[in-house]
Amino acid sequence: MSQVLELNPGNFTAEVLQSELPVLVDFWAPWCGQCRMMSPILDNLATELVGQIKIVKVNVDDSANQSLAVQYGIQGIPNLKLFKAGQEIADFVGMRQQDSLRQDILAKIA
Amino acid sequence: MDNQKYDLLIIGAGPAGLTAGIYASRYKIKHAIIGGLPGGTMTEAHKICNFPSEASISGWELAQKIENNARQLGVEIIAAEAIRVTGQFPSFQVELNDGQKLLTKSILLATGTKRRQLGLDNEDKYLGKGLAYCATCDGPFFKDKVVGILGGGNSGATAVLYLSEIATKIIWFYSGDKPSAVEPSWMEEITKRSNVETSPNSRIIGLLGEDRLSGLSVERPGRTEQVNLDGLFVEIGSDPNSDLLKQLDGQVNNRGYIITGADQSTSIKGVWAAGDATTSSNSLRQIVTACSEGAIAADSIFGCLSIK
Repeated sequence: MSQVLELNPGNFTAEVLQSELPVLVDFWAPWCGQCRMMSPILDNLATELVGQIKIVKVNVDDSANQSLAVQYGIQGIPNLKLFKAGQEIADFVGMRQQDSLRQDILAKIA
Repeated sequence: MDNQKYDLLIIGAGPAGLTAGIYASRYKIKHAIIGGLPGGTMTEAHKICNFPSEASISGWELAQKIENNARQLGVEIIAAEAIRVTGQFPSFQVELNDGQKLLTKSILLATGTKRRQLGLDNEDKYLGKGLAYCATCDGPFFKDKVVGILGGGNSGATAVLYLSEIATKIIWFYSGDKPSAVEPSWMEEITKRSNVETSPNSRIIGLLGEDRLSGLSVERPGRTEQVNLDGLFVEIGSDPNSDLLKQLDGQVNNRGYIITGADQSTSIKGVWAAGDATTSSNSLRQIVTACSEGAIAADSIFGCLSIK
């Protein structure tokens, strides 16, 4: 079971755009195999990078979250978007390995 | 968990690997499956109508059923990727991408295939921004859009069927005069779809668009045209994942597929192979043949370990 907080349009602003820490948002769906493979990697990074970034998820298969998928131009998953001070500063599309993803995130938030 | 000793490590968690795990459990072989995605490529199938027990089921659902059966029998699935294999029968070492090194007497390679990409310079730029390789995964994001599908085989045909239910218009690009080797029942369904336009004798030579894919340069006999669209799904086949066998100097054919015998053995003693990465099943490469090969391999391995 993932340790990462699930978001919806009701709490996206508070948890992502108004967050003091940079936030990595995982746009995913239950039927997406690569998303499923990414899940333990994101759990590990959430633990490793505690205090440096926050990691959250948006299930794009949930009709309530369609507006977020459209707003952020999601056309392929897994899609990880990194936000800092309310601004999107990077996105990572497709399956990623833990080490290279950690490296890229730390470089972007430095 | 370093240096844990297994009798069998199954590399790959698709239908071949999971079935082999089910059989290995019943044979009481001390084993584990290594694979990050239980179900493998099967999870990407929009609809499966030729698995004997299922009239119609999504690949994701069928994968979960097989995985659940395996787990109920106690199969251990290690969520990692095997990156290196060394040693010889009966003492192999399998190194994983998380740093673990596992020892095993025997190995079953059920490593499947990887999708071919277009091979165009700016391909990565459009990934997730209009360019996709999995219709089932990314299709829902193209509701009411114009979508191209490249590939005239079965995977292209099923992508056409799936996406024509979502997108406004489908343009189906393929290189020949007509789609090749597509199951007649798929073709029959496609001809009923009024929003599918075909583009035969076509080669995509360029991806266009500022931040997102908005068009293609398409070469057709005697002319090159620009085609405007919102997305392109690439379904042009796949290549075998046979690198691990090559590390042991095992034999592959001229297309890289692992050469297997009737008992799923490879040219390397103590290493078996099953599923889409192999030369078995006359290149049919179906879920049912992968399951069959996984079962045969597990039985062969059981026989080998029993007499050793």
